[in-house]
Amino acid sequence: MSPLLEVSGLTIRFGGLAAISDLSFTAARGEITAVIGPNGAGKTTLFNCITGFYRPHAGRLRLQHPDGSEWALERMRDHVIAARARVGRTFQNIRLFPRMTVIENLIVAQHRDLMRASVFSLAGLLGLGRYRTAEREALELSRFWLDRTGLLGFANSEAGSLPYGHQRRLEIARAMCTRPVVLCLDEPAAGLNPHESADLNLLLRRIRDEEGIGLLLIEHDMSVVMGISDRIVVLDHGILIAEGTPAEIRGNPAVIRAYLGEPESDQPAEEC
Amino acid sequence: MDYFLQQVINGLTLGAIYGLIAIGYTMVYGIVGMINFAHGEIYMLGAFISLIAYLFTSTIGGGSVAFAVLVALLATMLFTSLWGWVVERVAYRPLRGAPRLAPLISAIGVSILLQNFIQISQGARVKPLPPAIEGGLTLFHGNSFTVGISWLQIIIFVLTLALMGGFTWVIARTPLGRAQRATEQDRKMAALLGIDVDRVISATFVIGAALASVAGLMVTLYYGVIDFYIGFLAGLKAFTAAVLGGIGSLPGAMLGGLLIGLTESLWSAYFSIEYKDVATFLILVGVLLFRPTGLLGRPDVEKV
Amino acid sequence: MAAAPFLLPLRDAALAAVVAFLLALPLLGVRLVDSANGLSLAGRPELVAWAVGIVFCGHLLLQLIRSGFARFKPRRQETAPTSSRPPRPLRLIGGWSLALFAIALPFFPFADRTLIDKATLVLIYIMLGWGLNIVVGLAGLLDLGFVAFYAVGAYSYALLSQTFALSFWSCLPLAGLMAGAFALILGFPVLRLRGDYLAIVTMGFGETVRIVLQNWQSLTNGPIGISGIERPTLFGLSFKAYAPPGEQTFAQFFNIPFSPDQRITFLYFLILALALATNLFTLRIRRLPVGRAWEALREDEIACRSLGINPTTIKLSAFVLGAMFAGLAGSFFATRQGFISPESFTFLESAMIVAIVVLGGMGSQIGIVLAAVLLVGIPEWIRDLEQYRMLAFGGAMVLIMLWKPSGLLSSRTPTIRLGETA
Repeated sequence: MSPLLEVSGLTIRFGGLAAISDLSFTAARGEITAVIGPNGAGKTTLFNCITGFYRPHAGRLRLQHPDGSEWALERMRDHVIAARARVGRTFQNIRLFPRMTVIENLIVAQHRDLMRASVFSLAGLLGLGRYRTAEREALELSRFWLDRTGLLGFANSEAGSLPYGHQRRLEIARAMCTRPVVLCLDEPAAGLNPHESADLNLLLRRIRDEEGIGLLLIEHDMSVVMGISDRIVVLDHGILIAEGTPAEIRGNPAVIRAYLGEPESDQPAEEC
Repeated sequence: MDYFLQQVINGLTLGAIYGLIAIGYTMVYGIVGMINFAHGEIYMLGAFISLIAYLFTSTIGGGSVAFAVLVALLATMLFTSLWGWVVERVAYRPLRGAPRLAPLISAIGVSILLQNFIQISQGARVKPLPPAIEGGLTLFHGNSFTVGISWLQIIIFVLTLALMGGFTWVIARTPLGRAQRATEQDRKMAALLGIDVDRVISATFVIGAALASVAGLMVTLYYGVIDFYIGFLAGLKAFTAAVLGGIGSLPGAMLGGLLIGLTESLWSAYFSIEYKDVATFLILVGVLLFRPTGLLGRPDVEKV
Repeated sequence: MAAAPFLLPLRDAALAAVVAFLLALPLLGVRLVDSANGLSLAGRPELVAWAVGIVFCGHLLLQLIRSGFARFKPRRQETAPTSSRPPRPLRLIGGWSLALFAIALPFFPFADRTLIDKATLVLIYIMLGWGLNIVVGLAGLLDLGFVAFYAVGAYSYALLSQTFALSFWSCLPLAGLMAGAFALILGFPVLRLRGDYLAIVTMGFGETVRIVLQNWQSLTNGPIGISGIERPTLFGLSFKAYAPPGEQTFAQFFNIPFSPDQRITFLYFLILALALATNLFTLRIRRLPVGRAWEALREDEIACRSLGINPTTIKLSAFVLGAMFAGLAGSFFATRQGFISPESFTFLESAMIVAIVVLGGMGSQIGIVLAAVLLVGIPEWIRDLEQYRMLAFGGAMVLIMLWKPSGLLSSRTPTIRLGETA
């Protein structure tokens, strides 16, 4: 497997409570790695560390690009990680730009490329051609992802007016427009009905197969997790309790215990 | 050293007054998330009402200064609270669900309204009051300067302490205080649990107005002169105090007030009186650079 | 009870009247009178009676109107406040016709000197509103000290032109750059603060600039102000009555009789050009990456960070650009009056400009024009009732907010559409 993201010894504390303790695992390119665990296990905290919104107290987060460059995410700030290390993400509580249209959301995602092409918007102000070309290309990429996520018909609608499931897909499309090397999805299936979840599975698998990137996925919906993950990482109380393929995880007693809890020791034996 | 001590005493007196006004700002911000721009004008109204009530009592009642001050205190607390209540009901409550800036503009409008209302109805000139409470204690005689604390300053300190203490007790121990804290933290949930959120918010405005009115009375007695514009200046400083101390924090508001009072007093005494407000501003920026949520403010955690 | 429906509004009105009585009693009913031996009190019970009466009738009337509406119009669904947006062609026509009207204004038969003068004042505020719109409306940064940059522009022009004998046109960009520099210095440490903290800091900055202007006598002449500020010329043609040797006046050049109206009209067109330039800039930059980033930042800063956008640089750009336009407007203000003093740059000005932006409906260019006309233009007409002018102004702010919390014309035009060729 070609390593993409290497987490080693990650530790972060909030006021005396260790949200994540000494966490180590690897995610590979071209694979979907799911991070699961009961509520409060530290999954979103992990994502926030990877994407630079939190600064870990100890440990390393090394990201490898296809061209061989390595990035030490634990020391980088959030927008720098997104811009230079090319880590894309979606959020647990959808964070779109609600009063901007769908297409605008996607164009904003390509901000950096457009800024460079327009020399900080100056070329655009002066009406120079190079900006118009860049904008055309940005529209093309946006159109591509709108097509992939089935949102072409909504391109000029206000993002906030979209139905919930469409908003989730828009967030994914927007993240993909940043041309990321790894995509972190925080509960992308939350609130989706089974039909929409199945569509999501197709979308994510297609991204994995066609874009050659790695996907990190926090999910509670087991139909999604078991359906598409190549590897699963299980957290509980900030500690890694299991790691492996879906088949291995399904039967893992530690995982079952974490989700369902210990049986009561003084329960009377079942009568036949 | 003795001169310094005197400035400290004076500064703390001024600071207590600012602190009382600042509490109103910080409470309202904590519970409805809006900057009540008109709060400074409420303080100004309190000053005017206390002056009128004081003169009224002295003119008819005769009797002691203490009696007149007491009547002024009660009158200003009552009437100013009513003004605070009306302002909230008429200008803010209808805008509670509106975009964030709408109540702000409304508040600025109310502020302009009240300023000009007083300017027109009471005249634009300053209103002087001969010193009502004179004399004080001499603390000690220094080499060049006698450090003393006046009766009025003592009254201000005691009254402020009493109000702060009483108020903290209300917040911590009474049902209203609990409801207030709940509403501050999660308004929807408080409503679902049966708390009359409108009443709690009104009560917050009323209490803030009452405290500001006491500050108004203090200023009338302490400085002996008021005009329709004092609300703007004091309001800006008191709001700065609230932000300095950490907006949403009650002890922070008083702490911020005391700090600003001290800064003003000491800067005027030792450097220049013209730039004392600039000094206050620089301190504010300085504090916010290192503690963006103020000295005692709770760090604002936005869930990512 | 058959009589009940009438009793309820009466009772409410009566309650309101009682409250009005209590409110009016100490402040309207009694007046502090300055007399020889200090203050005394004078009673004015008639004012209290008036107040009670007006509140009672007004409240009753309001209730009747409200219940009348409820009876004949079905309850409008409370939807999330979005656009009260007129359709696109209408807006374009509206914008162009306003611009054409403004250009043609001085040539209308009813346009006299006072009208042009007032229109010039309104245009200054429109330009300031459009400038602040970049900061507050587009980028969502609550700046309550905008007047500081206005002041920097005005004083920069005055001082530069008097110290270095530079013309208005040379100083104009310099004034803008000065204002921008101030914004850069202030913005850098301060823009990362949360919205309301930013508000109080910018407000403090505005006050600080005013205090410095008032007290740094050696630089700014203090409260006396700077007078004799150079007036602008048109390609070297001055608008004076007589030209000193070597110069020509406008009237001389075109061989027409001199009239003081010529300068007034020239100034009008000057501010019109500046304001339109501000507007065009805004319209253009919204369609560019930095403009979209402003709006995105306003919508959700965390999402922007996750897309690789650096909030600090983007916020700074909005702050500095808005300040530059304020600086340009300040220069114009200085050259128009020929005299400036710190008194013109109070917090009230900042409040007014913010009110114009919010009342106009953030982001709506035409809305800002409307709001400026309402808040600045109309009070100018009732200038004679000077005292009541400000009272009406404050009341208008509250009433308009209560009526239209999202502003008069809250609308947002998308900056790009899919399906059109670029």
